[in-house]
Amino acid sequence: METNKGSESAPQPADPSPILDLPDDSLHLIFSHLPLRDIILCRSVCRLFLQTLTSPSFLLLLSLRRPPLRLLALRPAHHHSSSSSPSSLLLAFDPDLSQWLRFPLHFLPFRSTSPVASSSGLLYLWADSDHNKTLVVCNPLTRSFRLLPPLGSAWSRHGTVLVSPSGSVLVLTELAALFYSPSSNHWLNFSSNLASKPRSPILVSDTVFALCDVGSPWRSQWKLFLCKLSQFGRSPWERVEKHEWGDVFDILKRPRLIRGRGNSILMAGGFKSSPSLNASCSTILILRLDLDRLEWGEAGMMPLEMFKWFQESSKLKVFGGGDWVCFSAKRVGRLAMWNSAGIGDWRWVDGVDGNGESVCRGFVFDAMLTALP
Amino acid sequence: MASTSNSTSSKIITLRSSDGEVFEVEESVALESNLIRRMMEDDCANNIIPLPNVTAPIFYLVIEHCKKHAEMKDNKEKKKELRSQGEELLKSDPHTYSNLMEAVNYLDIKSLMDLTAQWLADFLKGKSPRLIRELLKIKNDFTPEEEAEILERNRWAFD
Repeated sequence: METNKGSESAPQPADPSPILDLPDDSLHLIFSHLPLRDIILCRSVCRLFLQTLTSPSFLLLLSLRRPPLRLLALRPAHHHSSSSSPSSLLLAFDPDLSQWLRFPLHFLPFRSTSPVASSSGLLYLWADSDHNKTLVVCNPLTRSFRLLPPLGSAWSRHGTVLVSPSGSVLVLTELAALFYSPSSNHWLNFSSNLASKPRSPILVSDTVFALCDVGSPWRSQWKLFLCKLSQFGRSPWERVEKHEWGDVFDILKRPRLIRGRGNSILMAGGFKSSPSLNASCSTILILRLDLDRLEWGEAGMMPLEMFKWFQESSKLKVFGGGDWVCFSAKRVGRLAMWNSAGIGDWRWVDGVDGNGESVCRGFVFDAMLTALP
Repeated sequence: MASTSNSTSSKIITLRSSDGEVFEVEESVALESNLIRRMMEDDCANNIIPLPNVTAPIFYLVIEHCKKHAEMKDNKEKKKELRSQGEELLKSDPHTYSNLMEAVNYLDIKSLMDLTAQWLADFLKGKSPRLIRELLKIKNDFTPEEEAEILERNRWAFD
């Protein structure tokens, strides 16, 4: 088999690369070391690469060996007048490479689409179909999609959409909740059963957490509530509380919840300089609640030179999940991003589309090739 | 030669490459190969183990890297060194690289399979399809239409 013995012969230009002769197993192993984006790029090198990189056995190996590409996706800004092409694009930020990625969504046969949530590599969007808003599940990488059953009520699209890793969907609105599970394939309607509108509801594995104001019209008093997804609508929300927590909810102005890493949740808001009613905020504080031990701890504090940009803003949006939390406000024109991996790791993210006037909202999107809608 | 000069009283295994060269290797090194392990478990432990798919120069490289890999385990510097050597080999002599990868695959040496795969992966990382073709001398065998379609389907990665 070996013919290249002895004196070194100059390789002919037409000589096919020896790489192409490697057995499938070796090629699979090599490519499984590559990040997702490089895998996609390699697909266009030659037919053999394309064949290898789209084979089911390689995709299986990849899903076992490599974590998904974790991105922070932006929700399109609200436009009251529908512009030419509202959003045939998902804009997502890769924090590792500090790079914005654009996923075209025009493979979806709808007039307009609006991404709102994601779980396990799938993207959930509101889509216009037959004068109705419908939730659509898709994988923008493989361009496959599926429609969820119609929701039947027009106002539901103003609700918060939460998706569990197993594909259950909860749409929480001011007063009601709609629940969809893939096994039943239809929506169930519930009263939300809370004293007031649930604020920044999040899903941690199979439990919904939300903040709820139980205070008076003059003074808000935030409390944390939870409800198991499987019990939703059947049993009431449970107030999560511990004597040791003291006045943890009074420290923050306009608190928001974000799903933390592992079994934890993060709560971010303005750090009140004093407990008085109209106290100003000295910066933005992030607290972490360990759900196993039910203990709060400080997770991050926005540097002052960064906070001064947010100081005047009345409307602060907080989003993210896992290791990342983003802050957006009007006229800031960029995102402030916190990473839990390094203590005090804050940075600016530029290049947000738009004129800086709009406020960004978003969610974590784990891009992966094997997610099936 | 590839025989070991270690003074420890470990057993020596004798192996013969496809081109007839005989290697004496410490058992601990030889057992990195699952193929040799299986062969020894079967019977031929006392005889010379034939390796009909591996030539002497490649087998020499394999043993070399087995040893380096063992040293590298708790040495970051060595790790770096080994990685850059891999890249060198890949650039200067892709034939030897793919022969080494095939041999490692045939001998079923898990640690080196990962290592050699990592070399090529590092080499490919961050490069455009055009540059990859050029450096690895791979012919673009797509029709322009096919290429345009792949680009269209995966536009996000090409921006």
